[in-house]
Amino acid sequence: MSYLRTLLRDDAIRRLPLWTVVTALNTSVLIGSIALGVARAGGATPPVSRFVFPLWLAVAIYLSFGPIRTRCRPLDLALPLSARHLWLAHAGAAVLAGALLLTASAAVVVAYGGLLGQPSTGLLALVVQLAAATALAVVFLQGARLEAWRVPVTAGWILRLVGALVAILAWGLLAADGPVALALVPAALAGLLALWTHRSVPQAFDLVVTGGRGAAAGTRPSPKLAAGWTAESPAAGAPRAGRTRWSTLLAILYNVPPWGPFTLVVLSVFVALGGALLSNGVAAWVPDVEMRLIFLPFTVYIMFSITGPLTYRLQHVDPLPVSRRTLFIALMAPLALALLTGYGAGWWAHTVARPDLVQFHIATSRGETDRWVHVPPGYLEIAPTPDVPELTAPWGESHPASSTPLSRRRPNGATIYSPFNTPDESSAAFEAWLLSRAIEAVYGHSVPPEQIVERYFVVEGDRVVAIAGGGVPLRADLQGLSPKPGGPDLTVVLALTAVPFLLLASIFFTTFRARVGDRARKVTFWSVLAVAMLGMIGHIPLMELGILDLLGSRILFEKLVLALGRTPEVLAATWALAAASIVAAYLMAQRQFLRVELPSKPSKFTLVDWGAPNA
Amino acid sequence: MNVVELNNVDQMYAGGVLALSDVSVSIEAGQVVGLVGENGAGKTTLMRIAMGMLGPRRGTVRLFGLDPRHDAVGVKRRIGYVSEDQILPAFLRVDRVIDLHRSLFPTWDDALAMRLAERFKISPKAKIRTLSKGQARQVALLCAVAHRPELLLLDEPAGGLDPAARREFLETSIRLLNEAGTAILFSSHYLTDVERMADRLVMLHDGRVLIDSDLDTLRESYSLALFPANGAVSRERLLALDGCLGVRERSGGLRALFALAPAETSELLEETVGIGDAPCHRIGLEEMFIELVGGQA
Repeated sequence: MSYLRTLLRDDAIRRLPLWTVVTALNTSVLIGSIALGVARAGGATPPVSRFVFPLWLAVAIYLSFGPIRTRCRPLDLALPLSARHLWLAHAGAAVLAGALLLTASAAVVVAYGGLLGQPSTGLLALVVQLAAATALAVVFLQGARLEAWRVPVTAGWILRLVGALVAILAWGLLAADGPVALALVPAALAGLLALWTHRSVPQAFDLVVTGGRGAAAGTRPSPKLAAGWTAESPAAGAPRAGRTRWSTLLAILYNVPPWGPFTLVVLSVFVALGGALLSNGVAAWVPDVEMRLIFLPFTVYIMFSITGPLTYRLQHVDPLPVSRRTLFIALMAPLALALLTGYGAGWWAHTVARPDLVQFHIATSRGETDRWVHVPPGYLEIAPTPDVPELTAPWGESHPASSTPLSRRRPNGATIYSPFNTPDESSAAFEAWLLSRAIEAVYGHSVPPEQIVERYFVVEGDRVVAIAGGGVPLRADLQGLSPKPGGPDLTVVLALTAVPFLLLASIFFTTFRARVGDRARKVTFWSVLAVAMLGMIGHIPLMELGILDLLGSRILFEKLVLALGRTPEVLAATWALAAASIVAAYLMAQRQFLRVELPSKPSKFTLVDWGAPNA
Repeated sequence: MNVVELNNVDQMYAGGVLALSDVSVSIEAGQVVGLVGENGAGKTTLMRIAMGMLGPRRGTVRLFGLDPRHDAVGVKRRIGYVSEDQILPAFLRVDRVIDLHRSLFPTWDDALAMRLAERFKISPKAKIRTLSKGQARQVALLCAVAHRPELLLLDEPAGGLDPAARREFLETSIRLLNEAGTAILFSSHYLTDVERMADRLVMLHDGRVLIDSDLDTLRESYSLALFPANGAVSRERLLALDGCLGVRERSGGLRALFALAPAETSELLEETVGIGDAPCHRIGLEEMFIELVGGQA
């Protein structure tokens, strides 16, 4: 068999289409963040080094979790192919795949060119630099455990991997602005290392690899095993039913590829992160975050992507007298708990750690001084036309409210405006009046404008020129100041997360039927996942087309939530509707789960090549 | 009441593959039934339907008078199940696996579990992945029998084991429980095991029940008739005869399997096709299996 044929049937190449999709989506998400930064910087073209991280991440994820460690299939060991042949073909396939994924990632960057100003012409050179560094990294990684058909995950491998990834990133940053010819350095090193390593590859790979995870497979129990059975052994001891049942069931269900025994930890971290972001906890540190709603589809995506792998161990518990309802709770409860914990932590950070929801800022740029009152987005308003109301103080001073179109595409359409800000130069008394109204709106507490001027403003003429003491620490100054009830935020967020997730899970569970083949099941899973991911990144083209405005969406959402909390009747109705929706979606997913017919051989439902299935 | 009652059960897999077709099987308490058939005949599907792990597309399934899909927990508590595919979680320790089973089965017999564990010489602290295939299967067997089930389902439980381990496995499970009146359904490719252990044999072919008979009847009432290669009778003619289960060509001649004693077969052949001198003899299980599988129209 020629090297080319072996290379083309290598998993590194065969799985490339799926990895390309993953890479494109990952890059899209990162480019979304860069695009926001570019927009805030007034559309200035970012330097090429700004793209090192997204491109590096694409290749880092691939090298970490892609089919890099697996040099061949066990079947290949029975074919008349030397280990050197297999090694070289696999190394070549991995290098090629890395370069193609970098190109795919760069293509995404170019596709989003409109959002990023003019994409730098240095992007192609950067791809070449990173591809050369990736080639060197691949060859370096392929130098591990040369006797093994599949490199076991050991501390040594992880160290090697981390070293390789750091080196690629460092090279990318160093060479980003350098000449393309620099890429010859890592490329030449990769070639030399490949030649040197190739000579050290044995004639044949070992099927059973000692050390790491594979070691246990080759061991055999000692002849004195029976001695372990004592009066305390479970087969003869006192009942320990309840604790054992749950802990063991959870240990079985949550030990799945790719994370093995760490599944529950990884799951909790990601879902809790989603919950924390949804709670707007990040606003405790970063004000004016418009992206909160994006994390709704993100959290649904994360939860659904975990549901697939969690079906891997069901075959172990299926023959046991454990009800499907119990199993369903065991699968769903940790997800719900992690989401609520993350939300709770974010809520705590937001409401306790953050001192003030109403802030007053002054900034001077190009000789002009801007003053503005910051309030949570829910307190901004949306007018149907660009004609926003005038803000008129009791003494007659009047200015238009600050405004911006809801959609860039429709400058004469709906308009966001702030009832607490004006773009005009206004008097200190007017600024204090605006701030006083904002405090009243957000906290329900009345602070006379005169007191604000006296306590916080440095005034020259009749203009505010600075803030006394550098800030307006309202909550520190006014003991007991707390925001007005904000409406059923958690209820709405939970419903908007749980209901789509459970509906997607229902669809997925319907594929676990004897009449449905494994391929159809996988296609359904990945398609549903793609839909969830589209929800996550779909905002980027919508933003670019001017159809969606993140701030506008968030204002609408938060105003809706505030409105839902306005009267006890509406609040109760919201809770009832949310609870009914969640319960209905749960029952629908549970109904499909109860009817599950498991295949005799489970699928992993993960792209990550991280350890052999631990049956 | 029968322990197992399958009536007119159909099951179909992806791509319209018919796994079971109009299968009816019932098993009484205390019966040991061997389930045989070539690969893909439907043995595992039948077992999984009995366990409630698959639902039938058509027909009814009752275990202890209950629907195993509807009363899954109640039914599974009364069943012991070991299959070739059902591998225990490799990352768990033996004692944790046993602990889990003990907590799930109210009738768990600690003394029996202890006895088996000592007999199998398995360390409670060993992880499943460190055990040999035979030892892992023994742990599965211990878990399946130590709650003294009323029905034991063994789906190719000894597949891949060496002859000594296989015999030890089957004798332990079947003898131990059958003495206590447990009904046992076990599938196997080893017909000698079936002959040694079972009271009754159910043979599946292409998802249908080809033979359902107790072994004594099978030995007494089945015969093989041999016809030389002279074209005196055709395959189709023989297959059309009452009692003919299959006809196979070999070395130009024909070998016909009849659900009749040798004398009855000779009589039938003389009366119907005019051949009274065709050699007819009794037949062993393994030979019967080969004739049946190879002789289907």
